[in-house]
Amino acid sequence: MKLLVEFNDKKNIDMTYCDGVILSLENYSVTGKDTYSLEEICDITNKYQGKEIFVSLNKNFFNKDLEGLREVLLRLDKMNIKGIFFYDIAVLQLKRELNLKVDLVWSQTHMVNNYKTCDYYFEKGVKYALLGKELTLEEIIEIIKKSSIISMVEVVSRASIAFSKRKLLTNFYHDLGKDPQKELIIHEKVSNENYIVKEKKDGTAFYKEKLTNGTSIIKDLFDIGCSYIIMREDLEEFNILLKDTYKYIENNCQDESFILKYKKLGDYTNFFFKKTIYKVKKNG
Amino acid sequence: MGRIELLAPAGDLERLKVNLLYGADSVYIGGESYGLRANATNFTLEEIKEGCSFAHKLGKKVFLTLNIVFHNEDMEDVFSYIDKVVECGIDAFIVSDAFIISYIKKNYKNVEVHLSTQNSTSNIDAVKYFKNEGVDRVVLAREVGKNDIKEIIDETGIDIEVFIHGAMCTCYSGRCALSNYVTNRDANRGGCAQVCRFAFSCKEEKDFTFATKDLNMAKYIKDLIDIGVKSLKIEGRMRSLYYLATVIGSYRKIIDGIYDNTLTGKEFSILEERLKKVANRETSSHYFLKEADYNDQYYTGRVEVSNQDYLGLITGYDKENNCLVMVERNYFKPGDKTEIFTPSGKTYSYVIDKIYDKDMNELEVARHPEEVLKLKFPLELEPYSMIRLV
Repeated sequence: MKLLVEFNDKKNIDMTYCDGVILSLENYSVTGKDTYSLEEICDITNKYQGKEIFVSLNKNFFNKDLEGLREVLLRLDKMNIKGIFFYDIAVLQLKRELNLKVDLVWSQTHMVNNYKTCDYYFEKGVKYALLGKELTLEEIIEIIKKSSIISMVEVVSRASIAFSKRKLLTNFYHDLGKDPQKELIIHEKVSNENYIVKEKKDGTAFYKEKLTNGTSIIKDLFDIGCSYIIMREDLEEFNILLKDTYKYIENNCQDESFILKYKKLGDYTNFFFKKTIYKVKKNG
Repeated sequence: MGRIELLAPAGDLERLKVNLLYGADSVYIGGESYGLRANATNFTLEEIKEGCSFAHKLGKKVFLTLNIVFHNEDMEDVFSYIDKVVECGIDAFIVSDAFIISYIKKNYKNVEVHLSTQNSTSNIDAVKYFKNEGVDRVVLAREVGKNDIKEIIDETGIDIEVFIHGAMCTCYSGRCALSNYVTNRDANRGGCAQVCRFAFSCKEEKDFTFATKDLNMAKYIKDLIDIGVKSLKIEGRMRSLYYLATVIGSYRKIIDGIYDNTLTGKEFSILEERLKKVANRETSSHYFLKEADYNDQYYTGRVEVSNQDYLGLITGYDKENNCLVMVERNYFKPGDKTEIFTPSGKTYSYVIDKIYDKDMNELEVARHPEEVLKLKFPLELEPYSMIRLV
């Protein structure tokens, strides 16, 4: 099982204790952390040969974006890139049309939820899938067992939970008559939970403030043969966690003290052990 | 080339009939599983069959939403469910999850597959992909503007459906799990709690809200016809009969008036005003001509106005007493100026005179919703005629 990381800042990139990184391409990616130009991505692939460099192009594209998207895909195809995370199906269409060799990661956030659709995209030439964060561990395991696609599971992050094309913070601060802020923590009263709202060039993203601590499921994923786990740099002393996780996996997830140690990251395990309700009432 | 399709939402069999009688060309409905309105009444297989039969007799169509994003546990019976729905006579499935597409196309040549807006399809290449997969129609993302819609139609030639009226999502459809995280209800499996209409506290003096105004494209129907859109979709499977009759009836008149070159400015203003009055929120055209901006949202939390104009549904005629029989919805009294309107588009100005209960006892006012009342009227009217304040 490999460990992929998204670092907060390009200055923080350290590949010692991970197998690869996810880099968000500037102007083509949303919800990510720092963004990278094609040149920077090229430099990183050259610098870290032997490591797996994935690039995220997870925007919803409009017609005006397509010409640039073609060029970008052609350039990425020539680099030593392991794969491209995509949300918009235009990327898959262009892989076919342009006969690209680079592999794709189906990354439609809240829609990557079952083994049949994973297999559907696998048959269409998509090699990897970043599984939805609203899945239970049981569902994740079933997908890994039943689908031919190579699954990736995000285990430590502040979950990205929604994305709007609207400039929600600009509008909010305009209404207040104040200078716009690019980030705001909001609080939902009933559930007593905080969320982070971030506005960028292409819209507004929502994140859960509480850190998803999936350290306790890494062994289950390892045992089932999950190919990749992902951690995002959403906490202090991330490098220590990274090093410990890397060693933990290296030792076949046998060190139980790892799980005990990282209980300190909190008990929020997202949907790994909690199903969402979707049928609020039965028809009468 | 035929006229543009007017596609209406039907939460139950009665709404399906009202929509079609008031001028919808097609309706979309939800079955008991797999649709994005788990809280709606939804249709049993028998009701789907009856709805399809009713629609087909009128030369109209019925589409079924199958647009949840499936989890493993949801998939087990879906193909047999599709088989059963096809037997009921369904004309198209509205799907979101791609694994469904090939099953329908492989097994049912005469049943269309429409790609749900839940996929937020927003560009030529994505549409081309799904066209190649056999999708017959794409419901575009609500974020797509006029020029992009035209380019997509010109470049792909596929049937394009766009929303023209009703509630909007704040985020990209499908790319929002706020409901899952805030309320533990799965937005992509029919449990959306409309968290984008909640108010959140923050460090500022006012709550953070991000609810959008509703969509109203009445002014732009001609543009949508001109650029080659195939279908105009109304949102709202859970809306009232009165809302549907008014909205569908108004858009029917606008569409026909444009094609027949009979829509005067005055008539359009009346229809526009009617649409405005039946709405429970302010409206906007959002992304159609520009990026959505400050003016397309609310900043004061949940804003919904209750509409009191709808006085009741006319359910029959008492020939002995020359009275319309109606089921009351909102308060009214003698002297109120009203309009009685019918599915075929006839309207009658009517001042309330005497109000009777079902046994012909005279009442001072009508104040009990759901009460059966009678009003003197010289004509028997079509089923599903209604009465509203003017």
